[in-house]
Amino acid sequence: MDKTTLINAIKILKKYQSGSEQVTALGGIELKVGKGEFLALMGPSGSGKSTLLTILGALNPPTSGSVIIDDIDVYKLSSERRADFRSAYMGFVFQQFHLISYLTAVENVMLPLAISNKPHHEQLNMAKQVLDKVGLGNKLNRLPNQLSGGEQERVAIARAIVNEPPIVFADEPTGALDVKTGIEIMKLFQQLNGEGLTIIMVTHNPENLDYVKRTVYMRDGIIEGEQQLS
Amino acid sequence: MSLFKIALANLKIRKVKVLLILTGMVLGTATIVAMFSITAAMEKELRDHFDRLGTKVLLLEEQQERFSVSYRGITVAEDLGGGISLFHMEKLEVLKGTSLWNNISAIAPKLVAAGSTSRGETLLVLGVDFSEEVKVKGYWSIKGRFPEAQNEILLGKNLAERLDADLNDIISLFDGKLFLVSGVLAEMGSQEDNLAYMAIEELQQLTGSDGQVSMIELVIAGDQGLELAEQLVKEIKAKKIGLAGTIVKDAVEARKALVERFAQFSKLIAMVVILIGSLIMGTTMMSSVKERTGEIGIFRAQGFRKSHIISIILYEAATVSGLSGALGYFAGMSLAIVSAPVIGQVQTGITINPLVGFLVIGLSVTVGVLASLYPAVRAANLDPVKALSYF
Repeated sequence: MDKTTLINAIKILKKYQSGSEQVTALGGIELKVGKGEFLALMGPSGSGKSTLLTILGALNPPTSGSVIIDDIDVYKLSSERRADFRSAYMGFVFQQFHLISYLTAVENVMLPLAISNKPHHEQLNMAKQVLDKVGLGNKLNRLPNQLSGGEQERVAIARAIVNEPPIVFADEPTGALDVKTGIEIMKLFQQLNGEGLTIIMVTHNPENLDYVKRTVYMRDGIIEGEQQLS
Repeated sequence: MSLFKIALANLKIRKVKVLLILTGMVLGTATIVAMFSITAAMEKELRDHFDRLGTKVLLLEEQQERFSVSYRGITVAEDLGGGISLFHMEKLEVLKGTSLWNNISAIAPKLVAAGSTSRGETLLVLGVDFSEEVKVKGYWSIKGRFPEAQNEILLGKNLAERLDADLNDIISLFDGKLFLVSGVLAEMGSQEDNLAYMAIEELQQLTGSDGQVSMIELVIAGDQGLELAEQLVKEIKAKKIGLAGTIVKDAVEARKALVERFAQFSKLIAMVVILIGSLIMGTTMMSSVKERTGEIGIFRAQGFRKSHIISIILYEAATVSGLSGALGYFAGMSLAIVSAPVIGQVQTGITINPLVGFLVIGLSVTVGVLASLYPAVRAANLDPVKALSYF
């Protein structure tokens, strides 16, 4: 594998059983993502982009094919080792933020650290630092329902990067935000990418492509084309 | 942040649910604690009784039960004119080699004889070994003292009144032999109130029956006395020495049976309560897992292992059930103290024991954790992608 390639998806096939019918969600995807890339997966609903994101994110075993990340064949790992792998390599940002409603902003950010051996004060410092970085250093103790949509998204991004993973997966990160806030979030992603973070983002919004380096277009479970943007 | 803190934080926002499950489990625990505390107090009361008085076995010549003078409910003599069958103390020697012998805490021989005073008043005299007799008659209350010399006598309350005798009076018995009244027993409302008691050696001498006794009362100490007494009776019969043993059954034996039934009932109630508690806990945790499916998806996406998810659920269960155990223990002890006199007719004996408290908490946590195991494993096995779609 090329030294700059971080993720290599090889012949990814994903089939679902829907009642008596078998649906092919992904039909043999081949995709390489380099270190430090900011990749957008674009396509209409049902094109398979979110499914591909979860497969690349070690959450959803493919029917066949393999995902190699940093020379590790992710789906050859046991379920528990794969969880460890996610913890070490990946952060996730979701459209609906997916924050834990009963934890404050800083506690939500500390969540990935709860399974580490780091002492509480170190966890707290790390969480404060990333919340500062995303501009929420003054709202540490707010519960999610006391934050705006944009702020919740920032907390979700802080949670995704607190562990300093090399890759962040974002599924429609601006889908639930207004245009202005969406732009702010994309700028934040761009900033993080500039610091060396590899980001793979699913999006519907063509305006978000202004911030990414490469776009892969999908339709009906296959890659239709791609565009190198910068 | 730790898994335990996540569990605690979740419990804090589900106050109503936690309160409901807590109430159910506290009630269940309190019921178990109260019933077992009352049972324990009743058993202690019985143990104390047996330790103090033991179980008694009367040894008589075979066929003596026909006589009509009853002693402790056993007929010991009917036709005194015809003579009471007497036997030698040595007959007991045969029991000395048996395993039961060591359990006998008192051997109280008795010789029954009829006598008359110089004024012609008739009376029944019981010759006893006072040092052994006091072990048997723990309930005796005496004015004066027990006879210490051969010419001293102890009178039952009614007999003293009938003879118009009191402490330090001299009465003449058995053809002019003089006896000093060293003590008078307090009224007991039994046939013992009508008897006179003197040293057995003296009575044997007066009646010409040296070394012979009418009966021997044996005491077996401890709460296993009844079982051992039954064995002893069988043993005596098997030895074929012409003696028959009869267990003196008093109200305490009936009480023992009642306590045993109450203890069994308590165990049954405890099993039902534990079953119901488990179902409540299991059902609540199951519904909690269902409500939190999306959350579990987040945890899994963040790299939480299945064991981490199981830990969070079990920490919650352990916290709620541990708290229930502690509150239930204090509620149960309070209930026991209030209700013991009514339910168990026990006035004392309910004691707060921290060790029992910890055991109750331990049991409660065990039940809570075991009941939550299935929901926890189910939560851990959720497909992360499907779980995330619940958000």
